[in-house]
Amino acid sequence: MTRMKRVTAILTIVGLLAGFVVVPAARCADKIQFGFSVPLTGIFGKAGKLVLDSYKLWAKKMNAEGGILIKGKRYPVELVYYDDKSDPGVSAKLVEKLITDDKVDLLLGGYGSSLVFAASAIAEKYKYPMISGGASSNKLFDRGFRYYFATLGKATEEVRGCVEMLKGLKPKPKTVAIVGSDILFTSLACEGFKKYSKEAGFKVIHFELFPIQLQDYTSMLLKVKKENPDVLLVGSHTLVAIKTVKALKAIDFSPKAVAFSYGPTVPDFVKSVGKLGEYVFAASEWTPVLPYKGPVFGTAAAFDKLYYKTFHRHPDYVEAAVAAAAVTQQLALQQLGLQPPYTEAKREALMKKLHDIDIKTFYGEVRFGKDGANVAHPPIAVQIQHGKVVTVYPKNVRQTAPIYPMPSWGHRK
Amino acid sequence: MIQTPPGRAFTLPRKAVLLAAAVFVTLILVPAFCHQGYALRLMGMIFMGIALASCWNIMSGYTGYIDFGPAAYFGIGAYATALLMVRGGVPFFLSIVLGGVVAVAFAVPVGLPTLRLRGAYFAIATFAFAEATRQAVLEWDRVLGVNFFQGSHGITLPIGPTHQFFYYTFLVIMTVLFVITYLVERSRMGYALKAIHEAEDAAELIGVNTLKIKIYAYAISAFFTAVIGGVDAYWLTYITPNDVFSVHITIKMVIMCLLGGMGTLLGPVVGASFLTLISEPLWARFPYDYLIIIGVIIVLVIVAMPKGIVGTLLEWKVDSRGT
Repeated sequence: MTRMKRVTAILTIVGLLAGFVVVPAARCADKIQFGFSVPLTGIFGKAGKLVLDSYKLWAKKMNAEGGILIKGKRYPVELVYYDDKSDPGVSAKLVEKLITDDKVDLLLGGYGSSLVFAASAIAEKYKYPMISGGASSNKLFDRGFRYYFATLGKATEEVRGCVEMLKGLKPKPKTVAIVGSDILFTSLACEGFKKYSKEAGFKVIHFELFPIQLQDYTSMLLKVKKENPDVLLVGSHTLVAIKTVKALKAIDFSPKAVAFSYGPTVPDFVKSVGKLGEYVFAASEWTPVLPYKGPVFGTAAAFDKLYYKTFHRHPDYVEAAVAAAAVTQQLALQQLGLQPPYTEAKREALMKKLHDIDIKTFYGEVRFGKDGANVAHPPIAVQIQHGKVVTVYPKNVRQTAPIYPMPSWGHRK
Repeated sequence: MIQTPPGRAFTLPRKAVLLAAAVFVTLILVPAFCHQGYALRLMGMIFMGIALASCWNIMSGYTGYIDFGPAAYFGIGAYATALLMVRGGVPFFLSIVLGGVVAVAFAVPVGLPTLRLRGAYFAIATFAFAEATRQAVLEWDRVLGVNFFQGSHGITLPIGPTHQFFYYTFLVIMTVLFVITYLVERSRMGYALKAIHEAEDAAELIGVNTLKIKIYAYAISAFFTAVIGGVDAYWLTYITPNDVFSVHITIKMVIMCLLGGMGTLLGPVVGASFLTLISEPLWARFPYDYLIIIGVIIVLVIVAMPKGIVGTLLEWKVDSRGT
């Protein structure tokens, strides 16, 4: 190799290393820095971006008012965040970086159960309260943590509304099949479906978990079709829901009802499947039509409107839960009159306050159980009708009656 | 006598040994002066990367057998450690060693048939093994109707001790692997491994028991990969099959080793440090684009230095002596 080539090669490497010397961000004492790690790439990348938008909206809203008002002084909000690549190890590392290197004042929750698992263990270690709006696996709450909270209900609870809605339909469905992808959140949703189906008096005639990497859903669903259940319940993420609907059409399988644990409420769902998505049900915890109201964002409808104005799309219930998590921490700070800097003693006071808090927000009531899960939040059910997500359960807040049974593929326009 | 090709048998002069010892002592002292949790975690992660890349190097780097399944042993170690600690109440250090033993118990029967395969067939067989292990752990409980691995629900471990603990644990594992690589490189086994790389049939003809040697290397690699998996499980406090058997773990090991230089003592050290140090400042500044940037950097380095950073530098050294 020539000398010239060698020099170039060495210069390349030295240049690459030297070009990226870390410069710490300048700190300003008059604002509050909220740090979080969020998946922007990897399997949770799509959902992670929604979480980020939701926090941005909250920060923008607060800063438009001059900041969070604590004891007569306004503190602007600054968000410090990194991409955890949907990797729990990276998520833990980033939260540790936020706490010890960036020295953020407080934390916000991320998205995805396995990521939040790792992140919240670090938060607990350093005694930083973490309220998540994007993780709901039951196991998160079984660890005896004191600093971890969630605005969502537990994963098995989330699907209760859907099953209760099905129970009230006429003619009442008799048999259900439950399928779902085999990752933590969706398998828990399947267990919730099973538990509440049994309670509702449905007969579970098929139960199957499949690998998340499964590409072709048709053979899996053909097995279900053979058993001819009245209802198909699916433990799903957005992509699972999309693939399921497409496969149902491909094999011409139309049960009387199809319900998903998650997916159809995400705008991408209707965009990807179009008319095929009509009539499917989904579990939800929040929609803009609910009669909720509180400080910061006002009513549920006002939050929806502001969201649409900012991002040109309607928020999903996870985005609402995420914003509600930020709002809850903010209200706790305001009620306590806790000004920065947030020492360990102040963070402990904040944690204790969160255990006692009982507030009404645009997202509904927020009250945490001993294990940190939101116990005040009732699950609801929605259906896709004419390309829109409409609330169909509970009866007292529903926009319209559920359409049931779902027309078979051959009888659709 | 087997002649080792220039650039491969890299003999460490006395000065280098002293330097390595000095680096080791400095690294022992770092936590006494640096109390920053993140910096220690980052260094812990670099040590872990170096250790993992060294595991891969011992087997694949020297023999040229591309192992695409080390994630299996990482996961086996993580699960063995988690189950022993949580269910059995076994102390951490004993758990990780037992995790390594379990991995060897898998590696020997897996290695016996697969190590007779060559080239792409070996790579595919090991990859299939890793995927099968992941799926087995994922489905075990449901198929057998038991409550053991807990499938996709994963296992929660107790919150571990301080960063210093993990810093030192990984420092020790990394150092042990470095020393083992050093010793293997200049032993009969090391020459045999390189001979397998250069001309396996010829090596066999002159009496090298190639299968035995490959199994040794494979088992050593599996043992330490599992030990590292066990430590990582305790560090993260929560494991699922999809995370600890992830193909990304394998890919990271391969890339770190390739970047640094396969079949060299310092290759894993340089590769793992280089990759971590360039990606750290990048992801903070370019959250959406850094993966592309890192991809371009890896391509640039491989094009400029096709034998890895260390491998190419050694070649230049030999070149300049010779010409």
